[in-house]
Amino acid sequence: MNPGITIAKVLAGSWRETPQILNPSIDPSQAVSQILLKTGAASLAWRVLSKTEFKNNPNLACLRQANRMSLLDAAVHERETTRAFDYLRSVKVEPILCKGWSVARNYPERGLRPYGDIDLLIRPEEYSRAREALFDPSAPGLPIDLHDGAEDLMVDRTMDQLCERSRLVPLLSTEIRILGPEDHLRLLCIHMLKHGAFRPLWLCDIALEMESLPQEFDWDYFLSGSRKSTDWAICALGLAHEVLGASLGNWPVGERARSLPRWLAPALLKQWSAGEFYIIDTSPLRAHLFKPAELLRAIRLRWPNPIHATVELGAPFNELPRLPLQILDTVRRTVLFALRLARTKDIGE
Amino acid sequence: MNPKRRRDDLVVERLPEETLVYDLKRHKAYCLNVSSSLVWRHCDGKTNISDLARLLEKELSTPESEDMVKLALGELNSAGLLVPGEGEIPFAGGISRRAAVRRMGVAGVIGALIPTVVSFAAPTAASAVTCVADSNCKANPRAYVGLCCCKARRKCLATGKCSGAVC
Repeated sequence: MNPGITIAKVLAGSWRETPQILNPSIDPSQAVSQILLKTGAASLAWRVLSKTEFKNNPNLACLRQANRMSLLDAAVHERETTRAFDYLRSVKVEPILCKGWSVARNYPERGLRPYGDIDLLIRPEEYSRAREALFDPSAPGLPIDLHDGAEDLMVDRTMDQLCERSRLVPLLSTEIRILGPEDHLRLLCIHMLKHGAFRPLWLCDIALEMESLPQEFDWDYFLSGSRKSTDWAICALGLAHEVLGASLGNWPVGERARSLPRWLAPALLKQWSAGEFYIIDTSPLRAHLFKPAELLRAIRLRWPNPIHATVELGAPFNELPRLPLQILDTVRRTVLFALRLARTKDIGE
Repeated sequence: MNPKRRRDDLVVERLPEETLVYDLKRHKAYCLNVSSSLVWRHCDGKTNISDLARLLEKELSTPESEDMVKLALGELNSAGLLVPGEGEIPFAGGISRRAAVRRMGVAGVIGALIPTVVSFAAPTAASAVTCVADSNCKANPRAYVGLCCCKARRKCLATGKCSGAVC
């Protein structure tokens, strides 16, 4: 079975209170477990596989270990997130947490997703104060990634809109400000597509959010903004439905979400099968210029997947073939690379 | 002196079959199996080795074995999970793991219950990040020092420059 399909079957419903029983015919090989490990879905997969005969399979021991690490990492990350908020509030900065714990909080168990930076959205007028505070020698050494206003977040919303709909939720001894559910879901969708949807975990995050929407979810607001971005977001919801079985309910976007372009889900599964993506897997192309074997691999990895090429070029998700977009995106990036290389050379000379 | 468990700078996650501990000072993670967890949990400075052995017998249905407690305490002590006491630590010496395991086997303790404290790779908040944006290194070097800058492919230095070793 295609590794991408196996991953989809293992992860389907893994975010629910009671995950589904895995079909015994599905055999997650070592290669699949390595992809799950590499792309951050190991804990979720372990949650499903630990309830099957695979529990004691030595090839999957790495998933169990990743789950243990995620559990501790989650506890450490929660402390760090509260420290980041306490510290920034002490200098009169009110950040909004994006992704990270604001996604993890909805999972039924702790430690089901790994953490990276603490992504904090800062109002432009508070940004320099926040930066200065983090430069201060007394600042806690925390992995904070500051985002200067809404444009930095890749969502078509104004900062005022994001702030107005943000809300406070308790975490340990403090309250954390997170995005409103509409902005949060839209951000998860656009973020996943802009990165070529290469992490299965991101689609699980979207599926989880879809099934945790509050009664008062404002669909009109969710669907407002750029029509193209809105359609991308709906297609991301459709992918979570088609690939992972997330419920679409009777939502106003159901019709579009159920009629995805035919290439979209196969492109996603093919990307998952590859288990690598140039954003995380390779160093700059110029580092391989004089090593033919490495250069070939680096070029192959840089061939954009259809989802990434479509979003990079701002094209719609329709039935037209994706190959021209993939070629165009490659040409665009090659030109940019050549320009950068020339500029570096000029500086060097 | 009765054993006392360390409480400061530890993150503890209790699971049904094991306890996970992260030492925030040493940046090390440990996995305690069910018997080690039980011993560690009851190390309150008041409970002595005989009482701990009785607790193990009661909770895990093992034969009462002070060897088992001593082995657990030795492992916990090596991992730095007990408060260092004054003078000699009475429970840490005098018994090798092999000898203790053999004696416990004779006493009928099943393998899975033999106390273990296993160290595993420490999680860090940045463990999911393969590299950090160069601007992040510049903006907040204390958080990113030692990590690889994505563009420069050199390690982030405490000065906020991506000019450390090639990575």
